[in-house]
Amino acid sequence: MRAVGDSTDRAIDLRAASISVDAVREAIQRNHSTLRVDCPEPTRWWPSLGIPGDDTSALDRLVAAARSRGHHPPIERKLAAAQRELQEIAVERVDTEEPRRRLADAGTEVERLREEVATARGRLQSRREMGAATAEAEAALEDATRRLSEAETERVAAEQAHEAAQRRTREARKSRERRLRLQDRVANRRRDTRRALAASVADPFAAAAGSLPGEATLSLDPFGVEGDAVTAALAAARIADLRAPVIDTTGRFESAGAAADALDVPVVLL
Amino acid sequence: MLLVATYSREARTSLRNAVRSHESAVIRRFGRAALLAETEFGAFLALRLRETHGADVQIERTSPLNEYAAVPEGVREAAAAYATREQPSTPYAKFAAGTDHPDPTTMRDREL
Repeated sequence: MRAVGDSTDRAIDLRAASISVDAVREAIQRNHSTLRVDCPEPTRWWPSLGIPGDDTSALDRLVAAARSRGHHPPIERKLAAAQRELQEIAVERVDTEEPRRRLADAGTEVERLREEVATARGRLQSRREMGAATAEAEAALEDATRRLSEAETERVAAEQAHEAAQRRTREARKSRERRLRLQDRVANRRRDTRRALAASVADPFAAAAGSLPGEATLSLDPFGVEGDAVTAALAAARIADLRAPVIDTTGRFESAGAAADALDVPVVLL
Repeated sequence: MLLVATYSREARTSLRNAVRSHESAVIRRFGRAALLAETEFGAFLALRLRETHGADVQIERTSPLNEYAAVPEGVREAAAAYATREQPSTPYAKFAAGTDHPDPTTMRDREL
C-alpha cells in the first residue's frame, strides 16, 4: 500500500487517511508488512521519543534524548560496575521448610507417645491391683515404650537436621545481604545516571520547551519534570537525535509542516 | 514477637506495604525489618511474605531477655563494670585479664 497524504519533504498529514499509530510506528521501525515510510532507520532512542503522545514518562524521554545526543556521564561506568558485581553474586538455596516440618512432627509424635506410655502404665497398674491377668497390658506398655524411644531418637535427628539447615541458612543470608546492598547501589547509581543525563540536556530542553506552546520545566532535586507532559514530550523530541520522523498525535499543531518546523524533525501527523 | 527481616528489594517493598496497611499488627518497624505482634494475624502476614519471597524473608520468634533469669551473674556484673570503666579505650579482653570477670572467648563458647 502506498499512503498518500498532503506531504512535503519533511512532513506528511495522514489525519484523513485512517491509518493507525501502530501501523505507522511499525512501518518506521521496518516491521510492517505492507506500509512503508521512506525515511532513515530510526536511532535506538526513537521508541522512547518518536511518539510524543504515548505514555512514556517525561524523564524517560529526557534521558533517551540525552543518550541520543551521545552523552555518557562518568557515573555510568560505576553503574555498569555495580551491575556486573550484582550479576556475579550466587545465592545458595537452602530448604528449611522440610527440616522445620520434620522437627514439629517429631515433637508432636513424642508428646503423643508419652501419653500412650502413661496410659499403658496406668492400665497395667490397675490390673495388678485388681489381681487380673497382666500379660497383655505388659506387652502393650513394652510396645508403647519402644515406640516412644524410637520417636525420641527421631526427634534428636530432626533437631540436628534443623540446626544444620539453620546454620546453612545463616551463611546463605550473608550473600543475600550482599546482594541486597548491591541492588540498592545499582538503583542509586541508575538514578544518579539518569539525573546526570537529564542535567546534560537541561539547557536545550528549557530552550525547546520555551519555543513550544505550554509549559514544562525540569527539576533535578527533586528529580522530575513539572508542567505539561505533552510540552515536555515535544521538547524532548525536538532536542533528540532521532533520524526518523516523529509521529505527532498531540493535536498541538495546525499542520504537519508547522509541527516539523517546531520540532525540527520530519513529522507524520496523525 | 515475630521478627521479619527481608533480603531483597522486592521483599522489602512487600514488607513495607504490609506494615503500612496493617499497623495494628505491627509493634515496631525498622528499615528492612519489622516486629509483628505474636498473634495468628502477625504470623499470617509473615508467612504470606515468605510464601511470596521464599528465603528472602527471615522469620524469628523473639522474646524479651530477662537477664536475671537467663544470664549468669558473672556476665551481668562484667557488663556493668565494663560499661562504667575508667579508661574508655580499654578493650574488654584487657579489662577482664587478671580479674574475676569472664574472658570473652569463654563467654562466646557458652550458650545461654
